[in-house]
Amino acid sequence: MRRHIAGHAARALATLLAVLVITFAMTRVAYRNPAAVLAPRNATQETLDGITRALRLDEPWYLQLWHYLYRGPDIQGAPMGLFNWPPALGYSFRQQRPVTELILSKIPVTLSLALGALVIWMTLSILFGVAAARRPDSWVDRILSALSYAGLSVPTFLTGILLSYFLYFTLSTYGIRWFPSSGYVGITENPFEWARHLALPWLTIAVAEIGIFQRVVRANMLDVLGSDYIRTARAKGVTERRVHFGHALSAALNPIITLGGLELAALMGGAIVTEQIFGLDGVGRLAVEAAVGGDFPVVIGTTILAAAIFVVSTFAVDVVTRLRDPAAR
Amino acid sequence: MALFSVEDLRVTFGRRGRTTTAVRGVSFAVEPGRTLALVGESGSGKSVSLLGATGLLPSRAEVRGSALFRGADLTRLSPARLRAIRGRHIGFVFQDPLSNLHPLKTIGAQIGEAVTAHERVGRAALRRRVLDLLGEVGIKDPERRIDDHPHQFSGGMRQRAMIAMAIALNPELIIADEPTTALDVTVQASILRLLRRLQEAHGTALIFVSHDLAVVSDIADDVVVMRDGEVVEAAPAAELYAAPRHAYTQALLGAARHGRALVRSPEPPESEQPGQQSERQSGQRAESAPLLRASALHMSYRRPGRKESFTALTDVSFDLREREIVGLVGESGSGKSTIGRIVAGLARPTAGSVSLRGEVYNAPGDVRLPKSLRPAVQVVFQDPYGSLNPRRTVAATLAEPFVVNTDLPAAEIRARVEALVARVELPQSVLHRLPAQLSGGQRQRVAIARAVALEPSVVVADEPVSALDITTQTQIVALIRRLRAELGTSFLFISHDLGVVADLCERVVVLNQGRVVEQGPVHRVFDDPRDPYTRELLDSIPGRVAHV
Repeated sequence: MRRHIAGHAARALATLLAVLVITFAMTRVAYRNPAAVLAPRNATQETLDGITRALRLDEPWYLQLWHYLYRGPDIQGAPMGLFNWPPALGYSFRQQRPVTELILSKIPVTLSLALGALVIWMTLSILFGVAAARRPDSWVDRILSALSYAGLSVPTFLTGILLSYFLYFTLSTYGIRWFPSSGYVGITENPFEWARHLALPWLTIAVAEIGIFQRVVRANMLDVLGSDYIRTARAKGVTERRVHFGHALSAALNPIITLGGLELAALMGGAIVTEQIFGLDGVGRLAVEAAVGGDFPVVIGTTILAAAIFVVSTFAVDVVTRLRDPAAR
Repeated sequence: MALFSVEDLRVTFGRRGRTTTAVRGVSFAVEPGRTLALVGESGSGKSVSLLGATGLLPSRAEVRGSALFRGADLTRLSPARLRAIRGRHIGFVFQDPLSNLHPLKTIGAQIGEAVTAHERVGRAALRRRVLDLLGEVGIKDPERRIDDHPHQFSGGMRQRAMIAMAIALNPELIIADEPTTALDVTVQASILRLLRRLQEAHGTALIFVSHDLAVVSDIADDVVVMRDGEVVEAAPAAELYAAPRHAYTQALLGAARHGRALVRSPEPPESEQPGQQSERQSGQRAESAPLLRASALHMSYRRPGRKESFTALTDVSFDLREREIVGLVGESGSGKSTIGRIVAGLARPTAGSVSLRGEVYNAPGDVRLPKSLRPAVQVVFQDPYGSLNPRRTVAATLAEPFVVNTDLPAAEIRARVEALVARVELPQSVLHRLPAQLSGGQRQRVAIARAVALEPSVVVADEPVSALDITTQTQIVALIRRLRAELGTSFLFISHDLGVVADLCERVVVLNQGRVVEQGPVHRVFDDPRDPYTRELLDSIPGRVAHV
């Protein structure tokens, strides 16, 4: 197990390094002259050259990569270098702030959004999936399956707009203001307001995810319910509820954990559409604005963050599924 | 009054129009404290009728008729009342103890659940009860094993744990569905002894389902023989074994006796040429050079994540002569299949070598079999469901050896394939079918046809009849014997079934934990075993002493 973890960590680092190099190379190709972005609008060629030299943008790409990784030029006192401690991701030209600081300020929003949605969609998917698998092809199964196909087929932006139309706009015309249309309140400030503001975004994400997960839970449950040890449990006189939740679900859970980890990682890298609809200032929005505005240190920073979350999450999934398997422990 | 009586039970699967009937009007009964054996081949409906009577079939099965247990009809009870009876009043033991135990739960938790499903018990008291149960079913050192998971138990121990679950609440009836079929013979004997002992100690009634009349001969009071979802004969055991009335029972009993009594039957006249027979009897062949020789084979594997490697074979040597069938016997894990894979060139030995007609073709470091030798050694595997490509017709499967190894034109290949099908006694109509459209016996014939397509010198047959019914088994054994006579092929016949080996093979190699403990002519080894392990193996064959 320990050796397995070490091997996994080494592969993870190699992946991250590859992502970094590729992203770095792509930003060099995509964004021509960052000095022009940084300089005042009426700057002379001389000023531009000065900035280019100061940022060492005239050096070859591999030296620039080296600066990015280790002791680059300070910009307005913000250090650069991913391998320094504390690791720094550079300086945002547009927002005039260190990228690390910028990303850290957006993470609480994205984390709240992703984790809250995860809890909702996992709970509902498991309930709906088990309910459907209890009696395959019954009317319960048919209705739940139809609903999850619908949730899966409707694009997120439409779900978001519909939810905010009915649960915000229509309700508020009757004077009911349960759900705000946008905004974010920190959980430490006011937990109730935090949940109230995130309720619609959570639902928006959950609707799409339930579409996938309800099907996965159902299929895995049906698979496990046909196995001999489920019959053994029934032969012992175990109640159906315990058969489903105690025996079958625990055996059917691994693929659900694996898929859940991947989806969670994807969301933490930025739920771009949902953040946009509900005016949430999260990592996804930061990444989109940086990509459109040519703010390449932020582009690299958010990409690395997303990759790192993915790597950590697959690693966590691997450890959890191994710990659940007594034969691999 | 009968404790449990099933009357006119019918079970159908499927819905609306497309239904199959698995059980058609079956009746039987068991008295308190008695043992009823339900015997039949696979697909005869014996398990289905019991599972149907106790409500354990999936919901797409429709059960009619009645199943009276202590006066209550189980087929009409509500699910909740049926649940209250299962486990408390009727205990179950199923066939494959690995697939029947939850892989993620400890043995102790699974046995404990048999109690907590019906009673409220404190944690400490429950643990004590589970420890007692484990002790009662003969698990050594229960304190240390109670928190193990199923994968840490051997097959026999798992079945003991299943039995502990079944007897946890001291039920009046235990239904044991092929409880020893997945186990080795020596383990089978000990599980049978355990069941009998528990039954005597608690006065429990037992319904014992088996495909093998020999296995139940030692324990049954009454026997019900089933075929195609119907009861063909029901009689007290003594009567049935002494004078079976129905022709099918006689056939089953004959097959069981034939195999188990370890008496060589005379070869069918058409399958042996006279010259050959005399040659064999005079023992001339003993002096001729061996066709295939395995010398000092060693095999060890490095297991991932572990330092010490696992030794599968130690110093295994044997010969296979022209036109000879040599049996390779031993329990699971003894290394039989590893030897088969090495002889077939599918695995490399760690040390030692295999040679054909004096030419070494498989030794450590060899990358692949010499191409010229590949058609000379062929394999037949145990599971005819898994070893045939489900998306290829029989014709395509049988044409492949010719396409890969010869330059024959298509028309000639077609002619050869047709001849092959005739040779293994299949109708030409199977050529365009897929494996799923064939019976188990037909599939194994196709697998055998594929192996002998290029008239190889040696065929390695790895448990070729173990997955088959006893009547089909006899037919396949006869086919192998005939092919040997017609083609002059030698067979390395791997089996855990000593009866079949005694019936078919000239010589036998007995393996235990990767070592050859004894080898020699079948008669000598089986009638006068010199190694204690061989003796144990022979003594474990069920029904050897009793009725059969």
